[in-house]
Amino acid sequence: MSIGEYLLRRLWLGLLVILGVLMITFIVSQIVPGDPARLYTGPRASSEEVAKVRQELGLNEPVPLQFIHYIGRVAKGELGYSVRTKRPILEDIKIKLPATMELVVVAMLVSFLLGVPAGVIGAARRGRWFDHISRLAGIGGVSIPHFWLALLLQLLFFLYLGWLPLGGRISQEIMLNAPIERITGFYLIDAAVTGNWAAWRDVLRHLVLPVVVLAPYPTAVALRMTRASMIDILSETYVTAARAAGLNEREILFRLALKNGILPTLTIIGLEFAFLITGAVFVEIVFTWPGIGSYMADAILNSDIFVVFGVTTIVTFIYITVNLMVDLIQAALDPRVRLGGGQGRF
Amino acid sequence: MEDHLLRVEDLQVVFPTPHGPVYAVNRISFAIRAGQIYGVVGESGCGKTATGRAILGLIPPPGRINGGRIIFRGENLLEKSAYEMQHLRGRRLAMVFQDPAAALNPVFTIGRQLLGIMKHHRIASDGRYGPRAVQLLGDLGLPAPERIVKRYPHELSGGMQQRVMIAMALAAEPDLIIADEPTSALDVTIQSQILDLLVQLRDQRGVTIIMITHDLGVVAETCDEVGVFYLGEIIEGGTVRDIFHRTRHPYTRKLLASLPNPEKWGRELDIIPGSVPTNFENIKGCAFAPRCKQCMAICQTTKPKSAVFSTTHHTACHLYGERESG
Amino acid sequence: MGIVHSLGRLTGRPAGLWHANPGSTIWYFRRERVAVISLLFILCMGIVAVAAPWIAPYPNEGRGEPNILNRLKAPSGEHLFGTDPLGRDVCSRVVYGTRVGLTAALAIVGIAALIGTVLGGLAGYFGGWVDELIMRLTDIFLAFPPLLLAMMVAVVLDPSLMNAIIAITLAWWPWYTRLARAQALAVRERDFVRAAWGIGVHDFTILGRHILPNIITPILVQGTLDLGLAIIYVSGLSFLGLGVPPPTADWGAMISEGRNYIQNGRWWIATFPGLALFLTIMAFNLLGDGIQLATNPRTRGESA
Repeated sequence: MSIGEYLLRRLWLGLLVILGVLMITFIVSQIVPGDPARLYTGPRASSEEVAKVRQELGLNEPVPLQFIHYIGRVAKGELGYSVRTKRPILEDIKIKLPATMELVVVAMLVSFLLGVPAGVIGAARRGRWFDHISRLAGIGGVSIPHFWLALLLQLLFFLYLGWLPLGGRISQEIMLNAPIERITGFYLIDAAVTGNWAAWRDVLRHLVLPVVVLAPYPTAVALRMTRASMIDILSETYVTAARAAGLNEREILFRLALKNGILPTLTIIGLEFAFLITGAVFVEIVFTWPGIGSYMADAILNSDIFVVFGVTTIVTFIYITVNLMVDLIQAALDPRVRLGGGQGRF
Repeated sequence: MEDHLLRVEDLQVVFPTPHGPVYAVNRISFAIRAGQIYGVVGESGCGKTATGRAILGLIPPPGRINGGRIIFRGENLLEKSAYEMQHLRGRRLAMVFQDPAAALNPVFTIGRQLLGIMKHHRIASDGRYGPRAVQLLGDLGLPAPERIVKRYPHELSGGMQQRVMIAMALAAEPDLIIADEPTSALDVTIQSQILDLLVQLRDQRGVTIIMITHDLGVVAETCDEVGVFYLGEIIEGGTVRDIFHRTRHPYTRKLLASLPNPEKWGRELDIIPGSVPTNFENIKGCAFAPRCKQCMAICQTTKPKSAVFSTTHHTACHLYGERESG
Repeated sequence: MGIVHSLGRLTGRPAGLWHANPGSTIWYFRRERVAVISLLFILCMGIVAVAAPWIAPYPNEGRGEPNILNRLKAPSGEHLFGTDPLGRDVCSRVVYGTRVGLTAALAIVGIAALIGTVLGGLAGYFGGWVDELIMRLTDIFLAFPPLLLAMMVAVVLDPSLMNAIIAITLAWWPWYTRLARAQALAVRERDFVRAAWGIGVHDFTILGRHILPNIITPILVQGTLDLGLAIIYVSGLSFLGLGVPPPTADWGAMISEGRNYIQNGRWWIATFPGLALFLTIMAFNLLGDGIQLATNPRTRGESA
């Protein structure tokens, strides 16, 4: 199967899945207790106003028809309006998404830069102190509830030490004196591209704590995955053969073995993404980060149901896309995956 | 004056297990001259592979070498540091593995793998490694080597893969190659080609080869001298003629008798009763005693000392008492 | 019967659970010291949860009764962990919190594993359209980031422990189904199943007597590994206000409460429940790690 055929097949499956996702979201939305129209207008609206909204929202039609309308609306990008901000949900999401994405991407990068080498070394030095320490650290990283960690770090670094800011993406003075030109919405990139180094440093300071909170889990996952995969690889005959040929351990580990072992580590990108995006909800609350995480949290607090649905839908779509891309990269890198066979190791 | 390229004395390799230590190699001694092909023959689990790995210093932990000496080119390998051993591997000592598909790295091209070894050992003083690699592959009988260099291992047939692996073993021009069951994973027709190739290497390049195998046919075809292994011990050693025509040890006799022979058509297969036990404790008597038809009382209590029949031929069996060469 | 058989293999017959044979799974597990300590810790937690009314210094406050006069007191001899905004003893609240946390975790894992085993077993064994249907369903559910799905479901339902469990289970069942299906597929190919077919044994008998015992072990292992994660999910939902409603004590909710008071330096309200949460989750994860190490033939006996 060529890459093209594989891509088409995955796209087709993806489409079916998206349909299913919409169906589930729709079903869940039907369970909402109370009158959605009233939720929309607020408790003080008159019954005529509520009836009018019901008509507008198409709530009087039979359910399957509503579903079709729903798909249509989503396809057009109409996710409804936020009761709280009174803006179209899609607009809100568009504005807030880059903030969250910046967090997610930085955390993921950190996790790979730390986790993969640690996993490789841990696999090579099994049973010795580095391995035990990093494994324990890995499990610790996976076990810490991030919302608690966030609070603790805030306590320590802001309240007691005063080193890092309480929250937000940038400080007031930067916003006033050296505002960042909004190109991509990723402040790190935008500030760097425009040479605004004062702002860049400020953004970095604000990023530290949220990333420190979010990074341990994906780092631990990356470490575990790399270590497990490397342990398998190091027991392969070709590694012994390389040793028999006199190559040194460093080259064997980081060039010959790693290239084989990196593939399963890629699969966790999807997993990490899921964790990071949901973890962002908690982290953004604590650090008042203006992303879709806090948007979601506020919506939950205020029972702004449509926002919850809208954000979940959009994030799920992004998640599906990320997984699709990871699958494609895997298929491109390892011809055995495309053939559907492979050694069953992965 | 050392005229043996490799001399193994009293080598012992032990693997700790939850059930007790397993002595995979139990005080063996043998010697090989340069330019010889020495056969290490025995059933599975008798310590042949462990011996090969021990020479290269590749016994995986928790296994370890417990005693003895391995004298290679006059130096005891067991006294060398890990660093020194690493430098010897590939350059002086090399190994050919049983399953070529598993021994080649699947994500690198043949060329890259071969060049990696050559460059590491700095073989070419002129820095032109590419042509050397192609030349080597061609010498080993691979057709269109300039194209093979760009291929991945899984794109080659088994026989070609094995030739590639032999090429990788030869890349740094070692003095000694340990071939661990080099043909067991191949088709019969390819087997003989590879064996011919190995003998040719010895004839043309003077490479010394240790041929580890369970197949006496391979031994007959290629080897000059042989050591017959059982349960980590060499129970008979000698030239090929000694072993095949002047067999002494009951186990060797049984091994030869179990070879399928058209002259024995219609008769029952001559098998060795029982199966190879795992070596959990240091067995007190002769290792083969439980399965030997000619077992005597003394065989179960005392280890047989070596009985020497000629400068080449010796065996460890109580049937012959202690004999010096006559 | 098959289940007892599988358990017997774990301990290495004929020895029992206490005197495990060397080389058996339990023997290797006992050598993972960290995992054994974690197991003891968890058992202690369980005892605490059951005996909460007797262990907590102020059981009524643990259950939620406010004591306004005592509010926001720092940790002291009287109140080991201080008091919360409603004057309740934080230590007692933490003790009572174990009930919610452990119950929820067990319930979620139990139900999800049950659904997964049934559906996955059916899908793997019967194949065909049953398999397709169940697989597409899991695909769809797995397309959601799990916690988001749980949030979405929990939002529409009234906040309660039961609803939180339902929401999370809805997000979790597909994992177990996939696992069970893979196992069932493997078992189906084995000879004794074919033999049973040959004799003409009923499908349901085969399912119950042959398939089930063989797929249950990995599911149990996975379930144990997931217990820590389940607690995180439940506390996470509570933190957002989607879990147990006040006044029931729940660690996640307590942390959320404490958040507002951190800026004033009243650190104890959020710190102690979080500590309990962290230690419990860590214990479960270490336990799971130990089990994994002990059952994987390649990694056995590493830490000893």
